[in-house]
Amino acid sequence: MEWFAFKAADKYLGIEAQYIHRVVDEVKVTPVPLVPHCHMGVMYYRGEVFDVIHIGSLLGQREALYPPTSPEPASGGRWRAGLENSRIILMKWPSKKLALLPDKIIGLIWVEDNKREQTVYAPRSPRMSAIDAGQARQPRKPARLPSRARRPGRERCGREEECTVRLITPEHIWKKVSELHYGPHKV
Amino acid sequence: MDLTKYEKIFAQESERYLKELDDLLMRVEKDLLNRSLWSEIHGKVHSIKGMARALSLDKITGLSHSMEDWCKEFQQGTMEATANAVQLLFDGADLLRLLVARKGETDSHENQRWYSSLTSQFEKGPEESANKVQHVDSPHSSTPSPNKKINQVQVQYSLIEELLGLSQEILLSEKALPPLSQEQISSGLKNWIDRYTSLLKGLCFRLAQLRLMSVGDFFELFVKTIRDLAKEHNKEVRFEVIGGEVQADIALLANLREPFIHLFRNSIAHGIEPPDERVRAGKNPEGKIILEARRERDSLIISIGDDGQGIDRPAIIRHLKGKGSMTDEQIARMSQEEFFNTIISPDFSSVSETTDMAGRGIGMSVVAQAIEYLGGSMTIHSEKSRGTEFIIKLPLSLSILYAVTFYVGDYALSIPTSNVESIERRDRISPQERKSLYDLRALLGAHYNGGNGFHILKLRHHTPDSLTSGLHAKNGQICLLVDGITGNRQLMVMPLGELLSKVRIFSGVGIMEDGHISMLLDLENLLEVQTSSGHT
Repeated sequence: MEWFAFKAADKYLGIEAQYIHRVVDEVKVTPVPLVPHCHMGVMYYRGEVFDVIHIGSLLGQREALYPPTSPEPASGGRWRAGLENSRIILMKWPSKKLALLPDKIIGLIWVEDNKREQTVYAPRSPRMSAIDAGQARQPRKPARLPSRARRPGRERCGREEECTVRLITPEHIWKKVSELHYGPHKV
Repeated sequence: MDLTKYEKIFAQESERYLKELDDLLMRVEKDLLNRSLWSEIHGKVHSIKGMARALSLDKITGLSHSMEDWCKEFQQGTMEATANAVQLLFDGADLLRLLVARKGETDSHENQRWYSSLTSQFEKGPEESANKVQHVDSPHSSTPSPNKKINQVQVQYSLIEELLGLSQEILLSEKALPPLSQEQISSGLKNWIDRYTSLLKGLCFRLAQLRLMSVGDFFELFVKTIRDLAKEHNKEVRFEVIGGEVQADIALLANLREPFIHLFRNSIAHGIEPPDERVRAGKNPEGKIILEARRERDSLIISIGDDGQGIDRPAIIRHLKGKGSMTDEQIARMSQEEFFNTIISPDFSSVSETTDMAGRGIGMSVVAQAIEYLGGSMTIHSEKSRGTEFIIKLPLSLSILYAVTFYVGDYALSIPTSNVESIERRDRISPQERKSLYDLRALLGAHYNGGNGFHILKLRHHTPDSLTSGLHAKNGQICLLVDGITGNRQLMVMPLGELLSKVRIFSGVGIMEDGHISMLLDLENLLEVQTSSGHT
């Protein structure tokens, strides 16, 4: 069984690869008012509209990683800066779809059937360590996508970190997202 | 006289008549003695004969003449039609179709034989051959009928999706263009590229319109289902469509297929009574299902109505008292809408299965969910022994509309141009209008982001009822304070999806020609939300 692994809220998470529709970059995310903090807005990709969820803030990361908006109005609307170089994961599963913005993409990993967790080695990204160290708002660089995570037991160098990837289902994320409050808060 | 022109018209017209003839024959097959159907069939055959005679297409004239004789007998009731006779007429129609395609001539031996054996059968007259006709098979039973429509082609939906995807990808590749040198710019390359991309944007936009389908064609898909369901439940059901020409997104309609089948099943199984019961109640033994589609501003309204026995009110009351533990008084205070909406709740469905109630609500929650997913809503009207109507309101997805696009804080928003009366600068409005000013920035929480509220959108607003109270609406006009106007452009409207429907102030996701998004505001809901949340 193949999982698609990524990092969000200091956790390594995996989604069954069959639910991953595409990984895209260079997309515009249009912010929408009166939605929960983790809902970054909507994106249009090939004839479809996706809700974009910042998976880190959904899973309880205290401070959102994306920087605030630029003050300049763009023509026809404005978008959150800093998103243009990020990769967004498009998920599709029966009758639903959702786009996720993770902190880092690990890539496809091979996991034995029925396992809920898997240990892999992922490259440490300089950006992530900068944020870990409290220096926020570093310019984003696209995460390097390793062709396939290496087997455990292999000698690792200092630029890699061991991580335990936990399987989550799209439905689980959906449930969390749809339980949040939408619309204006009652006064 | 230019005959070829008439031949072409003849071919087109007769194809249409033959198609209608087939439909009529299919109906009469189930209702052999229906004289009015026979008279319609007679009419079609007669029209074909008349046209063929004018062009001296003797074979067609001859064949249709003898078919017509049969129809006349059945129409007048001098003879009783049989299944065999109808089959022979079907064969006749097939042969006519072949003759029409070949300009009235039999071009091969096989066809000639087919022609002579059929005409001889017809000439025998129904009284002789009615019970012993041999079905004369077309030698071309595998030949596709040549009734191609000249201005339409069939395309796989997935191909349209693919084309749309590809064209958008080409559009995106513009971003990968390396910076141009001054030399290249002055050589006109920049102009060329700009023109090229603007053409490409137009192409993408038009491709997206290919995804529209007429609601009538969609409803056609259910004719067979309804017939089968009616058979299964021993009911007689007629199916009527109103407003079939309204266009909607195929993706939206595809999502409605299952819910509709559910609703039809409910109508046929539980709504429409068996024929004898209907006759006792003084109704036409044949029940009616009416599908109606219409556009109402930004929405597509589809209603499915039947003239059956209506929803079982006592069962709902039992449910409300039992599971909902409500008192008679509380129930009496419910509006009709609230009352019937009870059947949508999932536990109502399960109740109806365990009691003896003829469950009108089975699976209604599933239907309601599907409609909610599309960003729509459903209301139910029902009257005892008069019938039930389900009215489904959907965002008219993928429809193209003109909208004024603007921004408030970070947010790119839009309102259909038809709702906008004028656009003013903030300092140009009268003090009176200033009072009826509605600051969008407050509701959207956008006034911290440096928005300066420069422009006023004056909107026409049709207030339906009680909403007017406590609003700034004056003579159906409201003024929105926004930060800046970005244009008046064509938007393609896509459905909101489940999450954004919950925000309630949007009616759809507007896609601009360049693929950028502008959220369409739902004026009515916006005003409602604003009053209930207490902002001023």
